[in-house]
Amino acid sequence: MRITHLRMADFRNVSFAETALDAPRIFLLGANGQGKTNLLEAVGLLPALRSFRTPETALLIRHGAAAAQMACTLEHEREGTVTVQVTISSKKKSATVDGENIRQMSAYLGRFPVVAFCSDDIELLRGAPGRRRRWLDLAIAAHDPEYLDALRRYHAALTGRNLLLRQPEPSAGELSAFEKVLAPCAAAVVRARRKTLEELGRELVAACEGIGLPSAVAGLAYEPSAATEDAGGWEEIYLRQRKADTLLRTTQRGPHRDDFLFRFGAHPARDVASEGQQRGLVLGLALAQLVLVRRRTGLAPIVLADDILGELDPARKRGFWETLGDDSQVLATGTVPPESAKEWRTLRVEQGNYFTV
Amino acid sequence: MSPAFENVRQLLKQLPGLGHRSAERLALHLLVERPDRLPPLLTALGQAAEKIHRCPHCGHLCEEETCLICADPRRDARRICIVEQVPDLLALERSGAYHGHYHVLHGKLSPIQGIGPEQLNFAPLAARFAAEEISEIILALSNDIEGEATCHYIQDTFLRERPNITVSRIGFGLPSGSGLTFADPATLKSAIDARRNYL
Repeated sequence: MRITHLRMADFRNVSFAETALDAPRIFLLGANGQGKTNLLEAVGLLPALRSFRTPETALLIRHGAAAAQMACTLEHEREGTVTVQVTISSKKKSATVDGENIRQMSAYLGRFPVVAFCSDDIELLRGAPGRRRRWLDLAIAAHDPEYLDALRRYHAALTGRNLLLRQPEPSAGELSAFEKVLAPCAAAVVRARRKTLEELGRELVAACEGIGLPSAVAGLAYEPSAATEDAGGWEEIYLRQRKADTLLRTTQRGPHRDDFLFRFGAHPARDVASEGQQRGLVLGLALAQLVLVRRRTGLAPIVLADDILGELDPARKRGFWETLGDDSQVLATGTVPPESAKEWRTLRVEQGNYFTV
Repeated sequence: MSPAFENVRQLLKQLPGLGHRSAERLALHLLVERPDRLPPLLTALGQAAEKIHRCPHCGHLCEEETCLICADPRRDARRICIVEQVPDLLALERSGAYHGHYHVLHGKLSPIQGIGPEQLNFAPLAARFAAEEISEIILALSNDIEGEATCHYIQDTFLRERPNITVSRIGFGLPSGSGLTFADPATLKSAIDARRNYL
């Protein structure tokens, strides 16, 4: 899949911009704060209408505008030339494909895969569990409508249970009714997360070899709130937890408390791996995600590389490009021109405008 | 604008399905454009408010002691279809597909809206389970989290101790007359999950 043309309106600080992107390697060159990442973020909306930078929809809309818009033309392996338009307002997100409204996300997910590599991905390894859950959820849901459905239902039922727990005397009958809705969703979410993390873990080892990290020590470990993968097991957990949850007035166990760790040998990578090794592991995870998305969708995702090339030493950079392969279109950003400038079509970015060099 | 008109507009706006503009249009229509329509409407509303009440058995609208459905001897009183709202019952009646009795809950469990079992029409349902000979319950509640939780609540509260009663939930799948091509994946999944033996 390749993006050939892009328009943005009222997106972040860009009031309107239009640019052709018809090349396998596009490099967006410009000083900081000029709008390089904004273009990448706009393209990153394609898979699931969600930003890879923030869960706050309001930040995507230019100050004073009603909605942010992105429209692009794609050359697609299955669908041929196709135009996708995404509109993000404070109230809702919507998309059209060739002018036709997408009514159900389940009919959209998985059609336009994109994988993003960002310089602040390091927070995935070092940051709070919520950030890892969000990344993992987006990575799975971007091509798995059933997972998105289970996750949405889980959170809706969880809200119901938590509201009941905040009542002065929660009724056991009502709690049980919502727990019976929660349980199969929790089981489905845990199953999908475990399966995906196992697959990503295997691919991470391969990716680490490619970029010159000691692959034998790299790994991912799923740390579920409870490892149960059947609905009956979750019903028992919620029943057992009811007393404690009532005291604390919130649901303490469930996929909303899951986490996963980067391992380096026998220890968590954040405790023992060096700065360079940590960055390598995070890069490896994104490469692993690329392999996973290719496998699950059968499409070559667009790769977004936001300011990551400068951080890699030459050997690792070479390994990165070799591991990436050349079937995916790459959109990269940087403040200095790339070393092998001939391989890239460079766009100069100035104050939200994009000029072909 | 006149304070009296503003008062009417505000009261109309509080009704379900009416926004600011619709309320304004209705008020203008009844008070200015076609004031002749107002007296019969007021009379009809007054009469209906006096006569109409909830059927003590099933919660449907009625003017007599019981509703027309509960009073109809041709209907199968051993089967009860549980619905959320009166319009759901009317929709099922229009389909002509069902000839049993109903029970209208007047809502579904919804912690976010502060609706618990006490706010729903469960007390008459409990009385029906105690007094009537019921062989089948059809749960025709909406296909969302609250609808599903309400089904679980009914199952746990009323049906667990009554294994002889057949319990089913309506199927969720393809609309009649539509093909597979344009159905969204969630609907297709429901249709596959709710498939049944052919012939």
